[in-house]
Amino acid sequence: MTPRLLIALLLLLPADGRAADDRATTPGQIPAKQAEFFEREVRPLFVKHCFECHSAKSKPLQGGLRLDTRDDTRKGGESGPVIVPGKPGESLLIDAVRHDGIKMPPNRKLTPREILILERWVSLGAPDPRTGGPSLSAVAPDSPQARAWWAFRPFQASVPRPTDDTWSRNRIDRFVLNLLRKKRLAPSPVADRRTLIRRLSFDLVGLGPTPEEVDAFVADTAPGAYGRLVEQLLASPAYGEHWGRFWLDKARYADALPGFEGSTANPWRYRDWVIRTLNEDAGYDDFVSRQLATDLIKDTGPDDLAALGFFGLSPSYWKELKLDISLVRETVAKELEERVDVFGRTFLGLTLSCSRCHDHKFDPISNRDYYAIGGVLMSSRPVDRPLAGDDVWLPIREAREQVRNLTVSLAKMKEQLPKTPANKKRFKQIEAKIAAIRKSTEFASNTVMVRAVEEASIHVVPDGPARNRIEFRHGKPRDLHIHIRGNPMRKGPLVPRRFLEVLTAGKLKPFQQGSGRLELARAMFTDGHPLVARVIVNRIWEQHFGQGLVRTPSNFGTQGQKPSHPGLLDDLAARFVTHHWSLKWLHREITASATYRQSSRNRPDGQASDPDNRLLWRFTPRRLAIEPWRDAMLQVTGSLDQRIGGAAGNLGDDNYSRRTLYGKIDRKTLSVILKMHDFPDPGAHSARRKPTTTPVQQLFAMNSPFLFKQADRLATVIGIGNGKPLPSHIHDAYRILFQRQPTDDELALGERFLSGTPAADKTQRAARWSQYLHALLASNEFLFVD
Amino acid sequence: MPATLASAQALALLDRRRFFGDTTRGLGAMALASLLDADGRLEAAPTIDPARPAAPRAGHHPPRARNVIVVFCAGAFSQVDSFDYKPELIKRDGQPLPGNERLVTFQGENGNLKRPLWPFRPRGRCGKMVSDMVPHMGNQSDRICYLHSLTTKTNTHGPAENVMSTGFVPDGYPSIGAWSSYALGSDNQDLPSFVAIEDPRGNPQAGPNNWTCGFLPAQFQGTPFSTTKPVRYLQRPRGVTARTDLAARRALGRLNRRYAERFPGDTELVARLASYELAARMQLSVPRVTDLGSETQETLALYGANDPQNKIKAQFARNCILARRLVEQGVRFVQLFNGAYASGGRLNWDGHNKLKPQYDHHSEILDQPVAGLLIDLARRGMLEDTLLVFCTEFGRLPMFQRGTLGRDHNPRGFTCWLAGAGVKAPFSFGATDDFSFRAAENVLTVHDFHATILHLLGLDHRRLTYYHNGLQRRLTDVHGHVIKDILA
Repeated sequence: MTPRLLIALLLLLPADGRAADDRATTPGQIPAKQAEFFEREVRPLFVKHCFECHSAKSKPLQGGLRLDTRDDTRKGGESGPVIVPGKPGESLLIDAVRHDGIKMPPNRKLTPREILILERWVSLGAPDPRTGGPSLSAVAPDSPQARAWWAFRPFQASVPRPTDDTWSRNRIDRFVLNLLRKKRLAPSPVADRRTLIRRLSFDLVGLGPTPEEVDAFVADTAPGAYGRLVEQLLASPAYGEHWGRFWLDKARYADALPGFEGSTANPWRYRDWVIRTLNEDAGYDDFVSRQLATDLIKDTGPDDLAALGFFGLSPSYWKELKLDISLVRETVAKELEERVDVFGRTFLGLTLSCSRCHDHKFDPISNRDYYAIGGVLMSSRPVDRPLAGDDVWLPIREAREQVRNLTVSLAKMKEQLPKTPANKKRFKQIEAKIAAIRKSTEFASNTVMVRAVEEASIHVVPDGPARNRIEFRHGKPRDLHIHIRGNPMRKGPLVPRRFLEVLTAGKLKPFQQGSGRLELARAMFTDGHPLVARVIVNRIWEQHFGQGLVRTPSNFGTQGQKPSHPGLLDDLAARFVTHHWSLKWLHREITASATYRQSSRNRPDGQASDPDNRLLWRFTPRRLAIEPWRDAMLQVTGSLDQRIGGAAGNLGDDNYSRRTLYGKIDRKTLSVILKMHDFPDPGAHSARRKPTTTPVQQLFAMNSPFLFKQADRLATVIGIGNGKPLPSHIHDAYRILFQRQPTDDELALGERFLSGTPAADKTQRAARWSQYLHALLASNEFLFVD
Repeated sequence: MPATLASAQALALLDRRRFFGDTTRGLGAMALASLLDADGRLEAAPTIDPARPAAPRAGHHPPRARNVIVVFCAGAFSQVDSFDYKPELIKRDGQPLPGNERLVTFQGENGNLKRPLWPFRPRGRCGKMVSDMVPHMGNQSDRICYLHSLTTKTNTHGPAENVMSTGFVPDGYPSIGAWSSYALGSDNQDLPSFVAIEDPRGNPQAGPNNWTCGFLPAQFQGTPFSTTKPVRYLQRPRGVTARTDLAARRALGRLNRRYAERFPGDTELVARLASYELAARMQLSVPRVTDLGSETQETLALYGANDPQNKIKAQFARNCILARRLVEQGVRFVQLFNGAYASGGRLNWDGHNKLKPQYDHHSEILDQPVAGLLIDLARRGMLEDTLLVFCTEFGRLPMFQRGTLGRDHNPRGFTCWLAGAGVKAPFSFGATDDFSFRAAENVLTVHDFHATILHLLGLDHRRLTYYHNGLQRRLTDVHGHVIKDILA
């Protein structure tokens, strides 16, 4: 440990243990500071190093010692008390962690800092604020310490007022400048206009600007030109496509469900709903609430049911009903785990699924919290629904239920009954009945089907001695029993459906209306709103700057990173809420800042003191994801099909000219182009894209027919062979691709490359041009936004 | 691409790095930052240099195996009819399985016990009993360490392939090959570090899940190719001559270097330049390694690669030779698939209906080439540091399904084997009960199997982690024990 850290630690610890005695450690009488010390420093240590062997859940309990309640900790184990309050030198616990005599933990010694914390704690009299039963969580969900975590507490921000500030354009900048100055860094100058329009364009609509748009923007010297450009881009339908794809990563959207689901719905209707709703700027609260519960919201109506694809399109696995019921229940529990996970990380930035088997080891999320949310999801069955009211739907549902039940019982009969002529006849009859229902109007209705959820709880129940059945109980929501250590066959206490304890203001409020989906949404945007707002504001920020203010966008818990600019995040989130959760407002605010408009040029001073650019001393250049890269290529060659929405297409087809987000996403076999370009696994929430550099990407850029095709098309767009001089063509290529003029050097390089062939040989010249344009298309400059 | 150009460009790249001055520091810093970013802690995760993601890296302890070849028999290979000799089963042929008269399994009800469809006889000097279905492999028993007590978690092909390749039932987890190349990089910088060789007839049911990188960075996914199916986009399209191709690539290199100069210190641009170089090298190295022209007639014959009667066998044999050639070149991990999913299992080992003719057909394709691979590795001294793994997703039952001449799925007990670096041979470990129905002695999980393979590669399966979705993920989840008894 460095001396500086040691000093910092000593300062952090509460003063002096001399006054400590037993009386001071009675629960309720502990000074707040000492309680905080326990919660912040001691309890996490116990959780991390001790509870595996010394808690209620330890099998076997080692040495008869439990450290998970105050009383047990005091009582000690088989070797007697382990703590002599105020006297670390006489406490067995301290001997053990010092590896003096006995060694605890046995395999790994604690760090000096950790040992120091425990010594300090004992010398203070071992103040222990824990009450009641054991909690394995690092911080009890209902404790003030838990609620004081930066991500959970109410917004806290005072806007700094840097002196002599001629740089700031809005409040964002004042936070940024303030911190930069503390680190003796200056912001970078504003980027040039061609850079800005390229940056804005890719950020807001995922496409590059046309040469005409660049010219117009560069020429528009009237005040407000920048703001007008932003408005124009935000109003483009391409905005919803670009930002829709961003959302679909979070929602782990896929275009295909496994065949055994028997779905006839069009998953893309959810994708199109996302695009449309973002374009309408519905407000994030509305956007999210409708995805969770639009069927329970009065004013949205059946037209909106596609929104429920968020959970409707959840990954599902084959459940082999002949297997032991424990295995079937485990498969269902795994599906639930994924749903809790996507819910927790997408909306709350919390890893809720870590609490499936035990209390969260690091965050104030209990095992009960997991099953409280789990109950809501287990009361919401993924199902096909028509874009229509109950009058249309209920007969369809009835018909489909009949088919499902008949199919299951037919399979069962075929297995169990001998194949006598009489039985064969019975099978035939049932098959005929199934076929008849399938043909009936109710079943094969022409109504558009979407993948949604309905109010029906999911149960796995035995069906005879060697089989099981999955039962859906309409209109009967269920609370879940805790699965002890995550095992669905071991029932713990029943947990009512409700919101997370740590985010609930006041008393816990069990949900009353159906599954509770709508109440869950409401709780998120009332009690939970500071966290929910921080999470989405940080995500949008990340899309604009390449990195979030919090660099773990789906983990705002204690294992995540803290914000680089906490005040800025809080101020922006608070104002976002005031502005009716408008995402477009947020884009305006961010892009209007001087911070966003900075040049991306590297500077030695910044590179030396803040190479990761956490302080935002420049704009970080970044690589385009596969979607904008491919889209931009189609765009510059004039072949982009700009129609919005509809059924998914085949990205493997080199002639497919729609935007990349319309390419089919199959969880089972992800498109090769997507897979090789860092598209995230569509079977789970993706916190952020992780760009990698692999030679297969380069082989694609060098050799794929798609690139060759685009190069040929670009040659046509530029009008190669139309008699214009060679430099003029090169100029056009640079303008279209990079929004700039070539340098003399680049011009010379191009001329050298292109003049190698006799001008008379038309085919050769064309081939040469295609190669040249291919190289420009494959170049890093085309792939990066600076 | 001529070697001179490659080295000239590599030199230019090195110069560039010197030019950038602090780039080396920057790279280290970035690698560290990205690790911290992902991990929050640094414990046992390897440090990846973005400019050389496949650079060789040290494991946790000295390795016994430098490379691994996994032969994966898709469709569930019957241990009953091949390696798991059970005299009691032969004796009770036609009788019900004691205690399980009306057992219902994957495809329904089962009939009575059915003896192996091929006779067993002693093989090798060790006298291991192996059936006439796989005589070539059986005759190599002196080199083989059999594991007879494997169990898995599911009785469905796709998920069970996932378990065998990734350790998990659901999709989306990294393959053992991806974990290995993530941990260890590769000894060859001109080829991918992890190659999946597809069966000439097609893919197994779980397809690319078997060689996916899951949540690991994309550099570590398996690159699929075979002697019949080239790397995607490896070749320039027709009509482009090598000369102009080269000129275009040079032009591109220049453009990219100029662009990189505008952003000194940007490690990603350096990484991209390096990656373009590797892609260019692969255009040469992959055709070279897949071209078997330099193999002798004797070698081809050893594998059965020139069998004029059986085209599929010849193709699979050529894939086996390719596996050896890749390992020779230092490729870390090779998966070699036998059996395809298409046509509902008839192209693989899924013998539900008429097992005898189906297996006669498939063992003809599998047996000699795999035995040839084992012999060839041994005589070239490569078994010293290459581990050859033979596996399948689960086994088959010792009875016929009711009303058929085939066997249903058996996840409760099946056989896999290992040969080469660091394992005992001849050796047999673990056992099923008297009927090959259920693992009974030294019961093994797939996690144990994986832990052992990683151990031989010099890796501690408990320490090889990657932070994902709030957890330090492992190949072996929270399970697995190295099978110490089989280590040499």
